[in-house]
Amino acid sequence: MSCALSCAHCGGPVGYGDPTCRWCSSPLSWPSVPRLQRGAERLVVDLRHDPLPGPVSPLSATACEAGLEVTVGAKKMVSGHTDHGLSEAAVSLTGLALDRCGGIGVLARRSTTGTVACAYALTVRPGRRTWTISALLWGSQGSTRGKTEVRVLRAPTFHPAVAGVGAWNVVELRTADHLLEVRVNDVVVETLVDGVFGFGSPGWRVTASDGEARVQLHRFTVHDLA
Amino acid sequence: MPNACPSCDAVASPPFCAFCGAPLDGDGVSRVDIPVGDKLVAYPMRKEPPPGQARREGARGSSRWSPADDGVDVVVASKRILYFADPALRLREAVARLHFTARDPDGAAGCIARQEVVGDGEVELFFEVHPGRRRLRLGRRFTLGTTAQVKELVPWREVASVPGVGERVQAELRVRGPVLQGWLDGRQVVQVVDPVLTTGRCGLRVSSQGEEARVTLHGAGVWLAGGQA
Repeated sequence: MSCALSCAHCGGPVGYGDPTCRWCSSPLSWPSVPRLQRGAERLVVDLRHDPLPGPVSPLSATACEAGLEVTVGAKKMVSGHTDHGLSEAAVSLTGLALDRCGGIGVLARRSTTGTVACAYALTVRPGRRTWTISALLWGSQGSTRGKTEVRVLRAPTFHPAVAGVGAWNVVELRTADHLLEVRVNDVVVETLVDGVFGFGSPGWRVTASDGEARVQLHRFTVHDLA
Repeated sequence: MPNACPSCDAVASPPFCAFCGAPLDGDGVSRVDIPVGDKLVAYPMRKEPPPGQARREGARGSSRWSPADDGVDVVVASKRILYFADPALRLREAVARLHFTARDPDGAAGCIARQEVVGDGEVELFFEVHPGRRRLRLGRRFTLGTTAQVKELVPWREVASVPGVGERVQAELRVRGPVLQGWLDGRQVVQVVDPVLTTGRCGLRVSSQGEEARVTLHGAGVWLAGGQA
């Protein structure tokens, strides 16, 4: 397995936009923003028969034909993540909002320092056909519990690729170095450059805006990058 | 041969872990050379304020700083930390250097790198030297509200070459990719791999490890990690 952004001379992982390789000093050029390609399958969770990886808090969920129907209280969020961290990945969640308040999304590069967790969070809100991505810090226990800090990388923005309420959305975030490639229903919505978090576990999230939300989840996948 | 990466535990093959980017050789993480490259900015504190400050005197909470003959005297309140970082410079591969003298046994200081702001929270890497107990550590710190959480990547370690109270110290934090190195008086003393933070501001920190403590900051600077344009 090699890295998506690597030096042609030494094969080492390089930083997007760097003028030289940090390992062998060979010059690098970046004529355009690279498209990130999916590589080998790392994890496929079919929610019709597999459990959702590691919900952090108890989940209000029932089985349904498509997989799992999750209910989230107003202005709440539930999430979970896998055990193993990685820097480069394609993380996707297939879900459907049953009402206008529901949001579905993925986490990338989730890691912890003490009781504080961090991650990139990509969410689509079918009720408004918008997507948003943020860098998050949040507390999980003790004096940090319930506290969240957010750096909004892209405020909720309409995109025609985001399907509305009652339709399936495949929400995918591909990460390589500072590149964050946002895909919805296999359409590249935007590629952002942000360098705050570099490594951690992939995960999923379901959110509710101003009212209780019901969301159906079908599939959660993690792929390497090619 | 594939083996467990010492940094992230993934099954990985040299020369680089495909999961966290750690440089590997047959025995674990490779020894990485991070030379000092071009100087980007210097803060000679005999004449200039600490990074990110407009003046050589000021206060934050019950800690304060003021001009001294050989730099800036910082009096840091009991069990508190003061940060000075330059908001005008963010970079990935860096050498952050600090010259200081601890005047009290509880005074410690060091360098920070890859400090980023997330809302009202902060994340950063730090290398800290505590002359009063001749020890040092290297870690990652997340601040959420008024609570700080630290992951000690290299826990406090007594090192005979750490100068004592009243002696001048040159501390350096060198970062290249996921490799972090602590240097003391021109010699590398620790190396660790941590891929979690990738870019941000450089600066310095002054802390009290017990009672109120005085530390004199003589100068600081930021260099490119060598080999970059």
